[in-house]
Amino acid sequence: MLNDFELFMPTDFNEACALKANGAKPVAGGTDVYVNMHGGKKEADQVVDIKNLAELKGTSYTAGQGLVLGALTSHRQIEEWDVIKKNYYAMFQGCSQVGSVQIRYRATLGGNIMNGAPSADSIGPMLVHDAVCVVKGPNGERKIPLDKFYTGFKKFDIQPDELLARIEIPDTPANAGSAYYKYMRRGAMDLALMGVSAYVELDENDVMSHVRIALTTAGPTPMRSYSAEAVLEGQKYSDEIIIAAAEAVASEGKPRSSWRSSAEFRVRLLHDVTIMVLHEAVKRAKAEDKAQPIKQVLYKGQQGLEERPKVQG
Amino acid sequence: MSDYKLTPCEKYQAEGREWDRLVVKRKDTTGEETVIGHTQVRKDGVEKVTGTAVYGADINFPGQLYGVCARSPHAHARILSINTDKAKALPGVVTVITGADYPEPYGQFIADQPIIALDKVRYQGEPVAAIAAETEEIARAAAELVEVEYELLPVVNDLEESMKNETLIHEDWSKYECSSACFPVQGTNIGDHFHLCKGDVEKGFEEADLIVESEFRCGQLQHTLIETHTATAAANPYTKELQVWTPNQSPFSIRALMGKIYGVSNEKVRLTMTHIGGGFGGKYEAKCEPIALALSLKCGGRHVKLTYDRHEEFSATVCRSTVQYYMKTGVKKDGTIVANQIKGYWDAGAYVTTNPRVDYNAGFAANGPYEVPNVKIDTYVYMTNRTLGTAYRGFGVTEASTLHEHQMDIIARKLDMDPLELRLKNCLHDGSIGVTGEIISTCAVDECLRAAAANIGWDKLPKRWVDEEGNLCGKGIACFNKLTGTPSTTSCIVKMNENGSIYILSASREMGQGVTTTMPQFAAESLKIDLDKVSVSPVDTHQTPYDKTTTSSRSTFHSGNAILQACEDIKKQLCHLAAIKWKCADEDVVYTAEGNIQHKTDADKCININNVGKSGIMHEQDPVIAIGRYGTSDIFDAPPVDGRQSKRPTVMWMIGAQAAIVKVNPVTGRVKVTKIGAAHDIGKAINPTGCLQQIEGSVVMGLGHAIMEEMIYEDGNLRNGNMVDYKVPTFMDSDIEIKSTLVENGHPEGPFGVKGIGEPGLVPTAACIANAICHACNTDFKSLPIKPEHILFREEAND
Amino acid sequence: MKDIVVNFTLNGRQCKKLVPANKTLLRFLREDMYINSVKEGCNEGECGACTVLLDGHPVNSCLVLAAELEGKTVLTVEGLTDDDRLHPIQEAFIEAGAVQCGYCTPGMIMSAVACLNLYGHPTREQIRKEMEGNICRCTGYTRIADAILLSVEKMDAIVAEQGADVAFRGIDKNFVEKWNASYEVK
Repeated sequence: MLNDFELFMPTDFNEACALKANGAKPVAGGTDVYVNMHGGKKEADQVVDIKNLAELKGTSYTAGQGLVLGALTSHRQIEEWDVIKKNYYAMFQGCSQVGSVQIRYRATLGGNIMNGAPSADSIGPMLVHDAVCVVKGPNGERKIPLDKFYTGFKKFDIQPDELLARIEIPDTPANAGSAYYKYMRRGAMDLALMGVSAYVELDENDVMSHVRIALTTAGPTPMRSYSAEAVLEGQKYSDEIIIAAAEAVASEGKPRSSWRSSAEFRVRLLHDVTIMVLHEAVKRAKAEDKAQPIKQVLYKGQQGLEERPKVQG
Repeated sequence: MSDYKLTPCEKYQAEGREWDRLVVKRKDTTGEETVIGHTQVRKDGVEKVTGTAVYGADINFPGQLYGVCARSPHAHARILSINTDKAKALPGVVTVITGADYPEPYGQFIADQPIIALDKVRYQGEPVAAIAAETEEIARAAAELVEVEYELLPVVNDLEESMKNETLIHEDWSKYECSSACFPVQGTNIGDHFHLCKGDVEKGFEEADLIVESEFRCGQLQHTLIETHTATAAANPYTKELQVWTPNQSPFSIRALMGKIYGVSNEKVRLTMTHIGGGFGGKYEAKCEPIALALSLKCGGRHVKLTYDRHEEFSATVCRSTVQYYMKTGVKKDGTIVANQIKGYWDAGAYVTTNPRVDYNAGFAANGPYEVPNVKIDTYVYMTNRTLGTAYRGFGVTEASTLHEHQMDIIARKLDMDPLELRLKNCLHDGSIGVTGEIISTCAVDECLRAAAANIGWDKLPKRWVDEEGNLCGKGIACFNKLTGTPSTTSCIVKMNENGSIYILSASREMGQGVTTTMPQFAAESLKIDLDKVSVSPVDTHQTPYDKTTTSSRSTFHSGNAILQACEDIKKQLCHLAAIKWKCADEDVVYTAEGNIQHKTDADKCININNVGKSGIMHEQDPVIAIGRYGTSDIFDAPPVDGRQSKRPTVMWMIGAQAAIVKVNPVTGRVKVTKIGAAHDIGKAINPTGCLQQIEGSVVMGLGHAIMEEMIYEDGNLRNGNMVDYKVPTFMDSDIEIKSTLVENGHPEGPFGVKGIGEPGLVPTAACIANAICHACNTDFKSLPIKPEHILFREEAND
Repeated sequence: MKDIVVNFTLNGRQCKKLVPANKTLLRFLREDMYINSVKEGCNEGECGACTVLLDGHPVNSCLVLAAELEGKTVLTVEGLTDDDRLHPIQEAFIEAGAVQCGYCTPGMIMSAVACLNLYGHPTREQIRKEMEGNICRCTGYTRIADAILLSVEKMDAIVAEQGADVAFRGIDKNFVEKWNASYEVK
């Protein structure tokens, strides 16, 4: 059994805020909080189940405006929605690789943001899609861009009496493409050893704009790589410019060495995966049908490629 | 369930279909059997798909107490004091015990392990106290209240540290009771030593044209059984009658151990077996059983249930030891191997447990299934402050196979030979002299190697190539020979019910390998009785006759022989009963091959076995009940410790080979195994789908061992003791095309020729995958698992 | 609240129970409802042995509170059998050789039911993805995928024989339609 706690399941939003302000731990899907509790961690004496709050519900898309995703929107809803595959492919890639099917039915986008793990798979894709967090409390709503929402490791721009209510993501133009790559040591049920997300818009001359790149498990929080974005912004798509961006990413990412892997390995992956993801985003921007996977190939500038043995047969 | 019958689906194993999986090569078998050799629906299928099968943790008794262990956070420390007062004072706590309550140490080979730590702790997670309480929550809370004062000792984190013998895990081996099969070295961390010597290796090296030296390390693995260890005990403190309900693999050896620990003779110890949610050697050791018994003894005999959670399962049960091997081979220009010298060092963890047996089995297998005139093998079991190594599907032979098969590939490269050709040149045949001087018989290494290679299309593939996506591709092959534990004995009781149906009482444990289906097959085939009429009774040491253990791939071989013997007796008894009814002499009645009890001269006097219940011959007559026994002491030529030379070290050698195709992404370093070709000499496929299940499951397990799984320790702390960070293969990793050949090279002493297949499927898997990766990357990877970082930062071979 | 009254449906039966706030659905099903098919493997959502369908969706019952059950429907393998006849999926697991030690099997079967609700005729690739949260150490998984494909054939054959309105427990023909209603597109 989980450690002893008092459970509240309010339907009134302000009541939930008051409970949180009073120290209660908000829980939505429970796929992080209850795991921690099973591990013996005492999260709180009081738990507030926020699944019954109407203010946190709803999953909608309006053409020309974009997505409004209630914080309770599950990863599975993102994964199984054709709108996402068509317009927000990186989000499909991120959300469909979280945990397992069972986890994704329960785990919410709001929970993924508020758990604050550097390896969170939905965050990088939402960062590159320019997501905005809407937090709400007794005194009304505040809108904070997702990349400003993290203030440190597991720290957020949110008041004790506020809850993350929803996430708003702008619509994508027809010339946009996005991609996310999650590096795992096995085919499923794994944390991102590292990950790269990218979003790009491409004009008829292959000039890139609105470029956004985000890194997963490369620092204390999921993070944008502004220096790499600057390398690409306004430039014409080419192998060379993508390699230059990958180098910027590799020098900006600050992965740690741990028993999980060495920093050296992670930096190398950051470099090579950035090349892969940027090419994929560009290819998707050009594609007729953006809802299809793009076949992985090897690209110029990837380090593994240069070391490819010449000997064959 | 009455009006329809489940039938095996042959679709997914038939040739020419989507998955072309099975080839059976029949050799010495008659092919006339009607039950054996035909896939049967498993007897335990219905209860397992309906949730009615009872596993360890499904056992509950009204008023039972819950046990929990307080565990050491330190890997190596002296216990200065333990205070359990606060824990005892917690309402709901019934008892708290410490090592001092039951100080008798135990161990199958050497009694070096206390059930609860006494004077010091030797691994992180070792029990320092145990609590029985009214609820699990209270027991866990009480465990937190146990106060232990430790004096920290230097941690022996790995093999290299242990081999310095500066910090000793066990200061004085001589104070432990030690069996004749365990060879600790006083004043060192060596818990066992194995030595084998055939011919003269130094002379062999002198004759060689080329000397090849290599090393290989297999990392520490966890069985990762989905069912964690659990036991429920009721121990009467007054009569000393002990009973445990447990999903253990080895009821009789646990019975003997429990009797010893608690000073009770065997007949008072009762082990009642539940279904096992995964064994693989992990449920061979006594883990929860002795502690649950100890708690029950202190609670007036109330039932105490002790179940480990996943974290305890990782840090404080058992694992497969790390091993570091060194191999030196002398070879002629034409590829003939003239000498092999092998040294091996096991990191066995904090207590010896079954490691001497692992050391022994791997020792006999370390040379591989090759005829080599001069062999010297020395392997050592070293103790460290890690969790306890034990049996793991293959008993050390999987590790030995990765060693010799890695070496064979290096030799092939240096001689510019095809790896398959080099193996075929040196492999054992009937009549070869084996590593113990034994004259080898019933040996199909050659056939298995060729079949495994053919199953991946070996001949048409280069050693390495690059596919159209830029992946580095390679092929690899590996073979092995593994003995089964000898001598050992098995017995069974076969009894006919008054309606003519049959019960088999046998302690061979069903743990998914299908023995409760194969055992009835033997009886059904022998008697020609319908398979539906034969069932296996639950295992209980108070009722089931002795069987040594369900390990070492021995059950079908040994229990099959016992059942066949009992069935012959059943036939005689039935003929006798028919003779009474027909008022004739026993000799006038025969049991025919069709299952008829037949009067020799009067054709009308005939009872088919399937009608025997209604025939009336058993009515108020002597009950029909028979005993079957099978032991191998008589054929066993005990290998002496001075060099392990023996004319018959085992009753059965298991032989097989697997080949792999892999592709390696040069950018991500991730490995994809696309194809495995397997070929195993199973003697006789009793239940063909059952054989395939063993091989296919092994292949995916072996994939994990080759590229994903390892227990990671830092200074005695297990870092990845959970099911996300310890990476077993998932469904998403299972897309491997597997084609298996079952070579039926009948064993003269096996029932219907059978040999074992429980472990063999796993033995060559990691080895052939590793070899294929080495070829794909043109690199000698020297350890398992081969992880992406090893691949990306590799040093290519350049000889 | 420390203890909560919940009204819910378990395997087709209406139930009302008082549950402690901190009790997981896994423990509740095993200890209070005597549903033994639901197995504890890891208690952390990493093995899938405790998978049940909650309102038709597969969840790890170790990460759900029993207190959340109000108004909900829970299905386990005990609820799949129709009187004394096995569900086609259960038959298929046996006949395709998808069962070995059997500990993961009930959870596997529940994930298989969920997979068949999403894809009536899944491909092997879709099966692997939908089943990714269930760990099996014995089978190597391929025969489990075989079993799911075989169960589809079995159900198709029954439909061909008995007509399209034949119902299979746990199989919701309107699943995808209901699912799509959770989105709003303007």
